[in-house]
Amino acid sequence: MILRLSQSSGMPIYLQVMEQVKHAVETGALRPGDQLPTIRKLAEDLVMNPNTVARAYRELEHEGIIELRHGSGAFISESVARDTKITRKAQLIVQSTVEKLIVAGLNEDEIRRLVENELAVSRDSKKKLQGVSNE
Amino acid sequence: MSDCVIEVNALKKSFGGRPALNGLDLRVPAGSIFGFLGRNGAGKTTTIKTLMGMIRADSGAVRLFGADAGEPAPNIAARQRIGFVTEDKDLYPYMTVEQIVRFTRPFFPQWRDDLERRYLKMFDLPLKRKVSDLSKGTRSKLMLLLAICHGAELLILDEPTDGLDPAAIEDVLRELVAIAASQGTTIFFSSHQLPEVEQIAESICIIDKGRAIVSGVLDDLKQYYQRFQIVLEHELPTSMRWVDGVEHVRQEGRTISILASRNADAVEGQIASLPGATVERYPVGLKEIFLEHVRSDENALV
Amino acid sequence: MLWYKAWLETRWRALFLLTIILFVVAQIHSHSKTANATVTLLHGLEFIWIVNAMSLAGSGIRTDSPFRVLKGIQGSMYFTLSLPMSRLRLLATRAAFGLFEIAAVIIIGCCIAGLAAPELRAQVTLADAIGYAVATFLSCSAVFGISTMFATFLDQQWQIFASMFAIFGGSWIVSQITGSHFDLLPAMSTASPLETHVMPWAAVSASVGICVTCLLAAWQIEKVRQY
Repeated sequence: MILRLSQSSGMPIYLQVMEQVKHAVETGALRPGDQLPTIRKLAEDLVMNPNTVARAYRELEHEGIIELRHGSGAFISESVARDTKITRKAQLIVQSTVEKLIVAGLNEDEIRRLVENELAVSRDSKKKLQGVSNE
Repeated sequence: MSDCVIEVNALKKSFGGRPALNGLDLRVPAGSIFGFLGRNGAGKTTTIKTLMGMIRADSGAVRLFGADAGEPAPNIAARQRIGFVTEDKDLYPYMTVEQIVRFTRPFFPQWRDDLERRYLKMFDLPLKRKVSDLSKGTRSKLMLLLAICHGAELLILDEPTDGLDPAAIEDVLRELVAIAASQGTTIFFSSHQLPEVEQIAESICIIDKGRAIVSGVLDDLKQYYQRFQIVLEHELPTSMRWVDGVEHVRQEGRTISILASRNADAVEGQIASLPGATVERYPVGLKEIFLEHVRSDENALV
Repeated sequence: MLWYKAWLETRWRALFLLTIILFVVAQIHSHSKTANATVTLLHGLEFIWIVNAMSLAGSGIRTDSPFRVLKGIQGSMYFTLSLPMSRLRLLATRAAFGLFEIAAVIIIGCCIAGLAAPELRAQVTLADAIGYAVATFLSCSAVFGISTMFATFLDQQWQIFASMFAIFGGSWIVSQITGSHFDLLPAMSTASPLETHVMPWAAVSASVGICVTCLLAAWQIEKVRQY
């Protein structure tokens, strides 16, 4: 399994591992039933702390993404198949939107900034809504 | 805690009136990779020497493998289970690599011949060459071999990658991780290389002026620590009292930078209450945590 | 394995001194066969043996090299201290090996001298020769004991030499001042079995006493030393 971890991003490593496993599942790189490397192997390959890998695996199991079968190892859950379909639909939506924006003349950076802005706005409005409902 | 391999309580040690350790507390859980950080002269090597019985503390307790290890006799029993790499990586200059391996082996009944063969090959150690003719990097690797091969439950390493090139550093880190994963060895190492520590350590302790000022699980620390960059409409009064969790405040005119070690949401709430504040929130890496805690700053208000 | 280490540290010293002994013996042998030559020979050997005893002193932890401070040799003491054995064992092994080397050099020296100087063989009975070797060994062990005690707190080998020569020099000055012949090692000169044909038990016991006391003192110092 090829993971790219960044020490400087500030995001805890175990969260990065989890995000990348989830992303791999979403893009279909990892399919339900696929086996993940053992904790020891992943730690050695990435030269990272084995307990951190263990924590990531535990959290992934907690979220239902993977199953830890005692004695056999870690496997992608069958149940993520359902979520993958939603992601596939989302992927198609994004694909067509990006194509349209490129045709409209925007470059990569501009598209990226637009998306990040929208996400920030929606995060803020969600917070404000929560604030309102809490009062 | 019975599952701590190293336990230090209120350790104090002075050299000729100058305090080197000033009430140090340390807990290293079994099976963890533990990074020990601090500036030069902060007390790292003094602590390590005290653990290894080279120095006797003035007061405080040292426990290794759950038993008191401050006295010479129990410390010897503990050293049977500890692999050690010294700061200066000095070995007997008149011995060859082969001779010093042969010298060290009989002290440890659980010597691992398989690991010895593996590391002699991996580190490319010339058997017939005298230690005095080896570079510092090669001596580092030799010392690491001697520490690992006796099947120790605990490795105490003082700057293990000092003098190594980046490829060799990666080899060493990978082997440390492999040993931790396969043998459950506890690895306690001091280092100046923060990226290395961030890479393989799961818990850390930062020591400054003989005391532990930050300690805990690294991933947790990185989640709790947050940096806030704030721009205000007006300068703040310096008498402002911040909520619990704010570690450092640096103010220049209308711009404030705050480092919080916990309670990030409460801190953000307090900031939001200030008139006209715009806030940006950033995650914090180990280097930033380290520098903030060990450097003094004239602009700091806290 | 500590024996092996002690041997590696001291082997060149021992060989060097044996070579000097051979040289001294050869010189005397080739120059003349008078009684004076024999006396000079013995004095020369005795000097070598005493210096050898001083040079072999070591704590087993520090001052492991006599003639030059090899780079890194002081740092290696941390490696030694990290090994799972008591400081007593380190010191005791080093001391025992040092005494063994002293004895070996004395015995070999005596044998070579006996072989190379026939007039010695004529003059000295075997019993006296053995008595002489034992008395010399025990006297040198006193020198060794004192030197080893110094080695536990003096960092450099030359400091040990300087201290020991100060002791001998001091006794010579005292004997000059008081007019009486004040001999620190009587078992090797005036009370030597070669002269008196009996073992100088008093002097020898004193030597043994000094050696044991100093080694015990060395152990007590080493026990509380911090590195």
